[in-house]
Order: sequence, then C-alpha cells, then structure tokens
Amino acid sequence: MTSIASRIPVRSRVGTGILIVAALSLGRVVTDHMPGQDRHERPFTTAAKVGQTVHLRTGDVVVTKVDGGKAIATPIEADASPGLWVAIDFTWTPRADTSVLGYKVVRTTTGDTYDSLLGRNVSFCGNSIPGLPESCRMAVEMPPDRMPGAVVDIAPVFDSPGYDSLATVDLGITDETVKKWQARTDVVKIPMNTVGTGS
Amino acid sequence: MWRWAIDRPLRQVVTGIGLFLLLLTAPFGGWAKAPATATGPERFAVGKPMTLGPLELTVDRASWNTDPSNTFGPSKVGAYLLVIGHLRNSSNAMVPVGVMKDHLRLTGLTNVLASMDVTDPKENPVPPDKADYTLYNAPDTTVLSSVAPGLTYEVAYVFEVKGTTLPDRVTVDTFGYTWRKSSLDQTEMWLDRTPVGTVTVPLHEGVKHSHAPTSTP
Repeated sequence: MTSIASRIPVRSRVGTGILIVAALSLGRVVTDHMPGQDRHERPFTTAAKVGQTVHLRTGDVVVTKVDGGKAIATPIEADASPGLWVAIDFTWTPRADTSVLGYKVVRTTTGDTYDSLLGRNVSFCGNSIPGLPESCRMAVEMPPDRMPGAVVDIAPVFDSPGYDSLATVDLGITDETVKKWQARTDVVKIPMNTVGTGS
Repeated sequence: MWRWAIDRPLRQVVTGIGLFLLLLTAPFGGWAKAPATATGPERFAVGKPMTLGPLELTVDRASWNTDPSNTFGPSKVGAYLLVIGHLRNSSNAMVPVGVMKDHLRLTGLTNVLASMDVTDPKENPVPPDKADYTLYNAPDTTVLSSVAPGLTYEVAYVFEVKGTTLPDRVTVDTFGYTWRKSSLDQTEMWLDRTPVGTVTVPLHEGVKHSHAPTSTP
C-alpha cells in the first residue's frame, strides 16, 4: 500500500504548508481591516430640524409639525395608547420620479425604533408625482420617558435605508413637551394625506 | 510523531484520526446515551409574567360569551373565548407579525375553530394548537398586529368556539423565540419558536357587550 509520504516530497509538503498558513494569515489580516456590514451599508444621512428641507435621492422632505397626546383619531379608527402618541406632519416632493417615502421610523436616544408601518402606528403617505408636494402624516405610540431627544428617520425605501439617502430630523421633544402632551384631554386628529396645495 | 503518521498508509491515518476524535468524546460520555435534560414547558401561575423572546406576557383571566364586544358581532356558530392578560414589548423594536400571531395556543379543547371569522355553522373544529387568535388591545378593542418597545398593553386573545359547552378551566401554552442570525440570509431576527410555559386559568361566562358598561371585552 502506498503511503502519503512516499507520494509527496518533503520539500513540497513543507512549502505547501507554509503557503497555506501564509494565505490564511493574509486572509485574516484583510478581513480584519475590511469595513463591517454596518459601515459599508450605512445610509447617506442628513440631519435636520423641524422646518428644514432635506434633499433625499428622489425628492425633498420637510417635517412641518410635531404634536402628541394620549389618543389619536384617524378617519379609520380611534386609538388610545398605554403610552403617548407622537404625530408628525411632513411634506414630500418627489424630484425625479414618482416615488414614496416608505421608511419612516422614530428612533430614541437609546436606539429603540418605532416603525410607522407596524402595529397601530399610522402612516398616511402615498405615491406622489415629481414636483407635486404631498402632505403626509404619521403617528407612533411610545413610552413617554423615551420621547425626549427622539428623531424621525425618513428614506425613500421600504426596508433598510442602507446605501440610500436618509433624513434624520430632530423632533424637538423635551421633558416639558411630554408633560404637556400627557396633560391633554382632547384627541389628536390625524387626517389623510393630501396631494397638491391641500394641507 | 508526524513523521510516523505520514509514513503510514492512508487508510491507517484516517482510521487513527477517527479513533483519536472518538477518544476526545470520552470525557463527555462517548457513545453513552445522553441523559434527558429537557424538562418541558414550565407551569406558570396565573398572574406570573413569562418571557417569550421580545414579549413579556402575564395571563390574568379568561372568559367566554356569545357576544362579548361591539367591535366584533355575536358569534354565528357558538361563542368567543377570551384569554386576558398584559403584554409588554421588552425588546428595542416593534415585534414582528409572525411572533405576534404565534406565541400562544390553547390546549385540551375539542370545539375550537380555526379562527374567529367563521360564519359557516357546518365548519368543523380544529385541534386547539391549530386555532389562530386575534389579539386586541382591550381598552379600545383595536387589533394589535405589533406592540411598541417599552409599552405594556392590556390584551385579549380572542378565539371562537363551536357551541357554548365550555369547561370551567382553560389551559394555554406559550412559546418563546431566540434573537439570532438566520442561516439563510444572515439577517438577525426572532427564530426558533420553543415552548416556554403552560398556564391553566379559570374560565367563566363573561358579560354581553350590550349589558357591559364599556366595550372592554
């Protein structure tokens, strides 16, 4: 029976071993210095405040109003929250193509996210045509103590905004704002979105 | 050692490696049958919170009625069975719909229908673990398809049953999930639905909505 040693010369075996170890080491060094997934998929973020226009990839968005309270009423249903609702009005004007703002997520200072498309949260914003502003509305329910410092992330995609443009708008919510919203007894009304000059 | 190994015929080397690996398993019991460590789902008392992945559920009570709420009309085939409790999202994101729809199941009942939308009196009951619920926020009877991080909701899991013959106790099984990367696309998500607990709760006849002070189920 033929042994392994008799088929492969010693010098060749040693050389092959050294090459394999070197290749593995090089691979480790390269992968250690490659940017991580979070970095190479990160969006192109523009920070803004309420009232400031952000130029996204396919259009312009501006948050026009932030409101809040214990209960909301939409044309579809009325919802009372065990926490508080934050209602956000914004205007979306597509620039190059008919497009929609699919990603609208409120994010707290600790990284908790409240997606306007999930649960009882509200997202009234449809397809709009280039140059025609659309008045959009969204509302999410969240614990009052997590509201101060929260931002809303808005992007012209539906899933992760990776690789794309992203508006991060400071909602300007303070402890005093939250106290005022908690004391409200009326319902925050959320009308449907409108296209054109309607508001 | 290596010199000796590489001078051996290939079959001997492979056999030797196999025996060596087998020897390595000896401290862990080798080929001995592993003792059964799984103890099954824990039995929880009514009112005790259970951690179900991103959710924390406390089952408080259960009731049934032919017409418990003005949100959904009277049952055309029997009655509604409501499991009532508190549900908190302890994660940092909205809970996926798949987890919301599949973390609680009835057990032991023989007259549960597949869902609470049944209108055909001829429709047959399904095994209780196949019966879907609709989850309501009890104070305003709105449907909860997800819950927000950090909020605790008073909830009602609503099932529909055929007829009005119901036991005086009902048992529910709960299921948890693990946050990990999917082996398919490496995306992190709640996976591995696993039994967590069992709760047996007294079942009593509730109040018809037309006689109730509010629409709370």
